[in-house]
Amino acid sequence: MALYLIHRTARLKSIVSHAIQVQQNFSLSSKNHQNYDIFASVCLQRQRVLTSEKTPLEIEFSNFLQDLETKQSVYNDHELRHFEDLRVAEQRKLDIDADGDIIRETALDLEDSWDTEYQNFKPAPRTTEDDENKNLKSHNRELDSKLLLLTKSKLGDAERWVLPMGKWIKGESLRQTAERILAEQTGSSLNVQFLGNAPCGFYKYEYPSKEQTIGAKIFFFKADLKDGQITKNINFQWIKKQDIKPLLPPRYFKVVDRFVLDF
Amino acid sequence: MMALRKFWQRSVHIIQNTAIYTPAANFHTSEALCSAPMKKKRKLDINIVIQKEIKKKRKLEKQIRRLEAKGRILKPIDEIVGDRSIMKTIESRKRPTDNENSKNEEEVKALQRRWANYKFDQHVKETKQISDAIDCQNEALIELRKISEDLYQLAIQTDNDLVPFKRIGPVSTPPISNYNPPDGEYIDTTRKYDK
Repeated sequence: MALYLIHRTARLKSIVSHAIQVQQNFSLSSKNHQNYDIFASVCLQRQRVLTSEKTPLEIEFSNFLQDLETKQSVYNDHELRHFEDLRVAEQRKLDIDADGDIIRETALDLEDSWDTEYQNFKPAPRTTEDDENKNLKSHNRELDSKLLLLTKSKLGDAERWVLPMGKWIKGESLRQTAERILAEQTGSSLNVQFLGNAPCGFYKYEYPSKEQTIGAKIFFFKADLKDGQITKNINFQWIKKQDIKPLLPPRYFKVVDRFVLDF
Repeated sequence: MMALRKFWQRSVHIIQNTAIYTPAANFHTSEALCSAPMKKKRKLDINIVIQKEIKKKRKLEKQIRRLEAKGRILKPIDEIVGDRSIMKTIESRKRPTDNENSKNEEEVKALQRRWANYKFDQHVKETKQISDAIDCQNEALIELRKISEDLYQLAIQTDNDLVPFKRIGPVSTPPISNYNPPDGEYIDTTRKYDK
């Protein structure tokens, strides 16, 4: 037992000393790291606001369940009240003289009043103005699917649509780089929540003209948009995952497709 | 012997001096009270004592009888007990079984089969995507470790802002901005039970 404890404390010490070391120097251990630039990239997602429309099968099955439920149930108080109303009305037809002036509120009257109350409430529409205008700059559209933020960046000679990205600076953790570049590129009025310190994906490519560095290694970080607008003047669009394939480089798309979930 | 007498005289002298010159506002302690006044013993009538004993005994007996008769009284669970008024009128509440719109047995079976397949496919797609995403992340971490152990160590730290994780939605219609919900009445229908 004592031996075990000693072992444990030794391990703890080594972990602590390692953590301190990590804070002090961000050394790159690999031999060929100098040849690659390290980038962090942010996959900023506007999560779906609305549930999907039901598929025909889902509608059919939900109707079936509703039907089954009704079948297995007994009459409720409201239905009994309706039957009682019918009976009273029938009786009144038979003898007109008896308590003809007393008007009681029937179950159907109640239903009507409920119905008008319901009609008075207008829920917000599932499609917005930006849906009609196809305003790609707005994230207040396509509410029933996930939107991703793409920005146009200059890669080599060409400008391409990619997830916002930026170079890692010595002394930062990659998560800090990701936060920094998102703030730099979009302005600081976006309220986002990063999903963890670990990168969710990795993409490597080589530059056509190899000078000091031969290529770039990009680490992707996921973040959820809470609210806010992009204030910086940059070229960007909010786009559904299903629509990004033609915009991105094919190999790049494959990586993004793997870590961005459809649902 | 002389010396002792002298010393005694001197000490008496000192004590007398202090007694004379002590100012009135000086601190002094009161004498310690090492005993307490006696309590008056109440004389009890022997009859009253006997009656009290009998009362106690009766009370206990009553409690025992009640426990034996009913056992422990438990709080009823509404979901299990159900509404008694409905149980009384259950005969008049029977719904007629025939319904033209409802499906026949074969149609139901076919629908259930289609539904099961549909949900299974959905499940397979979702689990595959999740495991893909996990693989993708692990590959990224392995690659990061190759580049720098320190960056890797920072990346695998827990993000305490995410615990507990909370996300609202999705909902069936979007929230109305600046919506003023009408006031309702709050009626507490929770029943109270004695122990």
